[in-house]
Amino acid sequence: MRKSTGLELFLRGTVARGYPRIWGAHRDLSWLLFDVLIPLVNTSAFVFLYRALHAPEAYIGFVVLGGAMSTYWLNVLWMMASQLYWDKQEGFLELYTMSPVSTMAILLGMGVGGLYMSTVRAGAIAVIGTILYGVKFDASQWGFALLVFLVTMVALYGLGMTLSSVFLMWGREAWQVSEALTEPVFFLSGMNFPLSKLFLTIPGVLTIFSAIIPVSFGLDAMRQLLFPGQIQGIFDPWIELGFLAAMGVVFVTAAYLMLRRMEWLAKVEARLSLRWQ
Amino acid sequence: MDYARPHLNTSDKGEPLKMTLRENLRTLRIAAWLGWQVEGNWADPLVFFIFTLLKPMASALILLVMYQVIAGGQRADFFGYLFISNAFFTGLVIQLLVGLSWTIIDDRENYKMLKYIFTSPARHLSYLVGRAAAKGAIGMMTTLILLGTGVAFLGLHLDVARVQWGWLGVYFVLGIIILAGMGLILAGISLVIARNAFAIGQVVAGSLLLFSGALFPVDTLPSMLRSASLAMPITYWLEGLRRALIGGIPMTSGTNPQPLSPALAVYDNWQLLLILGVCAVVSAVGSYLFFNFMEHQAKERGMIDRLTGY
Amino acid sequence: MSLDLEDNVTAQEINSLPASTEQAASVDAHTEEQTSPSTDRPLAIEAINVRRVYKVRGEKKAKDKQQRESQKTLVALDDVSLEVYQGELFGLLGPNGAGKTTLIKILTTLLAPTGGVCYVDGMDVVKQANQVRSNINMVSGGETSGYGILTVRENLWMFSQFYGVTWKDAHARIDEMLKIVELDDKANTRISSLSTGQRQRMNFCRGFITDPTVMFLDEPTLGLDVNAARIVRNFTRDWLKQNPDRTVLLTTHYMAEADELCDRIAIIDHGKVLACDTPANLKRMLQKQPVFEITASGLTPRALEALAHSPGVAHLSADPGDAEGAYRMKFILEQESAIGSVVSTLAAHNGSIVSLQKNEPTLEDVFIKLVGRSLSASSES
Repeated sequence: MRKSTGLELFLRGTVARGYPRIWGAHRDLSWLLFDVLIPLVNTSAFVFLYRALHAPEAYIGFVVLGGAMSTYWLNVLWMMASQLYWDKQEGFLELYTMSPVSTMAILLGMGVGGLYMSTVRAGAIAVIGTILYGVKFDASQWGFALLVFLVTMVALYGLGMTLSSVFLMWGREAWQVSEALTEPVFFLSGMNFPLSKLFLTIPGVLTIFSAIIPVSFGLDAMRQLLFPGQIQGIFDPWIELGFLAAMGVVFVTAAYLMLRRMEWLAKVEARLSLRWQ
Repeated sequence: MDYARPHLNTSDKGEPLKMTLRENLRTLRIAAWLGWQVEGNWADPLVFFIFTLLKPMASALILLVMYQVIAGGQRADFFGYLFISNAFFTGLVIQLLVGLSWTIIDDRENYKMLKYIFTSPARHLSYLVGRAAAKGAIGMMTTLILLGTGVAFLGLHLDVARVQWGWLGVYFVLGIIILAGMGLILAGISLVIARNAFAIGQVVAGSLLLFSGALFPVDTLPSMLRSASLAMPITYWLEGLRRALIGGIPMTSGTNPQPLSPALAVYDNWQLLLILGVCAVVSAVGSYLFFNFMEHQAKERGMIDRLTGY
Repeated sequence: MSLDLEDNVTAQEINSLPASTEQAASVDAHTEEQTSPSTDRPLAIEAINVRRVYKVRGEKKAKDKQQRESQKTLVALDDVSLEVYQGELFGLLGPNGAGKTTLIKILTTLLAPTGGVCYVDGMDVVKQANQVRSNINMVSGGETSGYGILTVRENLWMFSQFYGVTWKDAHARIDEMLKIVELDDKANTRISSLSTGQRQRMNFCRGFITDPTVMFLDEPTLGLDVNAARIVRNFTRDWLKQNPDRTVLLTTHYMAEADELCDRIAIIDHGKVLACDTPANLKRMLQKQPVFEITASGLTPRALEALAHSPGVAHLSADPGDAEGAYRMKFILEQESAIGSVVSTLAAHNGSIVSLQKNEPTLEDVFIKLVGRSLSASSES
């Protein structure tokens, strides 16, 4: 029997692991309702909060865009970073580790599948939110905005892979850390307000944490491109794109190194099959 | 080999007696202990404390920055309104609504213990209420710490002398009953749908965030949505808590103060009490009947021990 | 040679026989009588002085300092050495907590040993883990994992891709394996709709679809019904027959399964290998000489005397039966062929044989002898 190796094996693993996410998602469409409705109602709550505060209309657009992007962070955190924890509980992690395919291929497959689901969600939120609340985007630089978005995704999912390596070692702490990271990242990445306003409010050390979250600069750049003149960005979008590209390289490299290291540590400390502790 | 038979409360005919109140309380106590273990024994107390607070503190900070960004700290009246209701919402509403439906999913799909609980003589509702009690305790702790942090560091003005403790206690208890009932209804629904059911609690919590006046006066909403808001018991609950803590109806600051939420200002405390009292009774009775019905449905469909993840 | 009308000799009591019978004792991992035909083949699995120590978490602390120290670590494997040859179906027998699963996890690259070294197909499981993984697979009994939303075929296909199997080969193998385990009608059924036994059979297929050179079966028939267990055992045996360059390492609680399937068995307890040999040799450890039970009628004391002195009879014990002249006799012979002279002597004295059976010690007897308790008692403790 011929068996693939190298890049071919990597790609097979990616496609195979992405398959349940994509085709499985089509078989149980309840996720669509929940995963669109939840961020949509949360986003709507912030829209009305801004309206109660008589904020400029551009802020409504910031919130809608932030709400759409929040689905990607949630996907990276819950369906990628902590997914290996879930797989450990189900007994899949042992099967993955024992197979010759690289863990990064597994994670990439999860990421691709998750990206698909998140894009459906984000698209629905952006479209519905735009229609409901009359958001006016400037589409003249949509290509640049798309490029920023794609690079942000590479960096974000690279971060997700890096986090997943840490979660390999954990038990229930993984779930708790995911819970704990959800809102703080919303806060630090400026999901609901311009990053420049956030940086004026928080201490310096927190701005560093904020800067290393890919969504922060990604959102800031996209808002500058889609709402030109209505927001003061931290840096020029090209500079922020550069930061995001660098983050992508760093996070993907870190993910590779940390996955190897953490997998080794997990084997030494017998955590690959430690369940529900 | 003879095995010692466990002592059972049996009648003279040897049939098991019905579960007494004491048995229910025992189930409740054990479930509360279990809930506390599930929530808390993964880390030492300090780490647990920090992690429990991170999420609600972050959500409070999000609101603070939004407020600062727009109002620049000029609308202290609005900030108080926003912060108080968010503290109760984040602490209790989320824990009880999301937490109860999650308990069903967790026990069924992750720990795979739900079938053993449901085949034991333990009263299932008592078990869920017990599990909810642990979450409620954590939620209450979160709420108190948020309020304390708001007062100490974030500019929340609360005058202890003006707090109406009696009303606060009454509103609080009625709200817990309503929330627990709603949580049980969601838990019942979770029994019959797939793993994504945990999201149903989040959908309801998110909807309440939008409609209950937790973040902004309900008058901000378009009239149709405002009607939906005024049909929700949580709206009145949060209004009652705000009044009790502030010492009266929340008003705008300035020379000509107006109610921050005119739609709710028309109700006095006794009317709020009546609304919440009726809702509490309906919630308690309705959730009991609904949960039993959904449990029966789950058994018919074989969902008690079904695994649905992907 | 003695006639003992009162004794009822059992396999365990054979240990107290005169010095002509060797005493059974704990043996090293390799016995002197290796009659396995596989020793001329290359090694498929080799464990050399393997040690695995776990840190114990979450234990309530003992009051005694010495007990506290010992609570901190658990020695799961203690200087284990094993050799499994290509083509063997090698069994690992031991009670719960003996270290079987720990050893399998080390061999399947899921766990790092604390000391020692292991090789699978000549490759170090630690330093060459990726290469090892291409050649192995594992099926754990009682395993019911599977993505509920996918069908049986899709689950199996997905895992085949992690081993680089081409789509065409994967689907062909899936069809073949599902037919063998009688799940072919469930190929397009979602996992969430399968029973526990069906899921286990599906997971059994998962292991073989990738055509591993070394297969690890960790209690593969656990929880399966009689028919399914039989299918699994038959398939495993046939697979090895058809693929003599493959190797299987099997752990099991079922003595009969180990006896039926395994070319050699290692008995492990408290992290140590107590014995390692063919089932027949292991049983011979307890009982070098064949034992026959004969129930006969029409015998006189003189006939009994003659039987006790028949050529090749080392020991005879006889219990009177219900009728006059009926006896239940137990013969310990010096060699199996001596039964012929026993039967002749019986006939010569006008005895009638009611029943004749050969008694062999079971693996359970061997286990009890080595471990000191039965497998079921071990499980309860």
